[in-house]
Amino acid sequence: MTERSLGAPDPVGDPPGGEGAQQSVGAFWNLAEIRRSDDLMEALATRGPLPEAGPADGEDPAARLLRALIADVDAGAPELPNRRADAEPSPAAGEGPDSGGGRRGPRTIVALGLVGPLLTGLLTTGVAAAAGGFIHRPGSTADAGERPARPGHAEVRTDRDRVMPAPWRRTVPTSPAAAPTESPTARLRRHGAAPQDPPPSGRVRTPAAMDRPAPEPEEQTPTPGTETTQPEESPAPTPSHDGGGGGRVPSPTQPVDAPLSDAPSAETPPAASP
Amino acid sequence: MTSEARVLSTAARGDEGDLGDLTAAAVQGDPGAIEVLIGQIRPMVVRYCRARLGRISGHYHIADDVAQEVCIAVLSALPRYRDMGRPFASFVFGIAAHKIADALRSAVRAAVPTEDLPDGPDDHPGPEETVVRCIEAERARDLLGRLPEHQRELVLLRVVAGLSAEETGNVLGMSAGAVRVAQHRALARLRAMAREESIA
Repeated sequence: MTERSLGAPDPVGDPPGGEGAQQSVGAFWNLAEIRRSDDLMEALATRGPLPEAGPADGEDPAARLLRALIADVDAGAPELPNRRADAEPSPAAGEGPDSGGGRRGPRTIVALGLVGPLLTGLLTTGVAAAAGGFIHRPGSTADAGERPARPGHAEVRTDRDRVMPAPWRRTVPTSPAAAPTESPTARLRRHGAAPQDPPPSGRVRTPAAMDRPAPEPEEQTPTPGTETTQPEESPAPTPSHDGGGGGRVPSPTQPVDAPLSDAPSAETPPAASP
Repeated sequence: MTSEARVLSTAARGDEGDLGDLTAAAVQGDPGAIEVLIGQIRPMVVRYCRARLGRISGHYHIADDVAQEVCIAVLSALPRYRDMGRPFASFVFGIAAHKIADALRSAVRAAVPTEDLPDGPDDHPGPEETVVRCIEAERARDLLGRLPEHQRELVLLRVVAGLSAEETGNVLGMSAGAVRVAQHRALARLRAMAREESIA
């Protein structure tokens, strides 16, 4: 018979109604029983005292019989090597049936503790970026307005072209992953009050920038899927944008649509005209 | 570091990975590694054979002889041993299972040697304790014999031979989690059978 681990999905499927909850509760209690059994077996294997949490030696006939067997075979036998002293820590009561060792449980919890906030941060960033797109695009244009969190690249470029403010100082861009997570309201305030800070990503929109004319189609835009910052603010971040000069920082007075390099990027698709 | 020191430091750690290293050195013919390796496995093999064969005429001589044959067979097979991905303990207990099967089939009961009369006081348990312990142990063997084979092997390796859940899983080809679940079920079945016998 194949042993099925606890929590394994039943191929037949959970019955409807509350029986699924009862099964989960049953599995929970079985987990505690399995841990107690493992503690008992470990105590017997290491010839140590029986765990206090489990049934007493006199009440558990299985434990009593196994201890008698152990005492019988140990009589006059060579001493067992102490293979547990350095190899494993003391068996933890919190071991799960599938934990694979007492160390996996805490490591699993620590790993989840690290991954959880990281995923939460990423999700928050994505949601904030998407929400920022919604807020910063008042539906005054034909192709603006409510868009999903991940608009098509052509639409994004169109909006980005529309909203690029000329007086913004161009600095070394930052990747979207490193971009600070900020609320849309804070972003609005920041862009409206002091447009000196570079936008964290290429999807930032400002109300003032919405009135500016769309730049020329030759403006370099990030390649699809890379989600880099505005090309005009990246003097030499990527080889595709930089024609080899590298490091040229356009002055703030240059028009937004001025290409940074003479050679257009082969990866830049033509921007859609508004 | 000399080979002996390396072998001893390897044996001191005692997990399966290091037993593998010890095995590799023993296969190469390192006498120190061979000695340490046999010293590691022999206590487990002795207990395993005793648990499986039990006492004959009140003694473990047959079981100890079988354990000795297992160790000799392991020594003989070491030069031809190749790591096929399974742990070395699995190889050893496989040999032990065959030797035990041969001993069970054999109807020969060898003469039981007796010790010389001791000159000093006997610190061993008294005859009553010994008899009670033997009766309980025989009862345990009887109940274990009524378990499914894989559960019986699991309990013997886990409890009698003193292997950890991971090591037992390596020998039987199971995960540690599956071992824990199976041992829980084996214990539950042992309890049920023991209670039924008590009631009867």
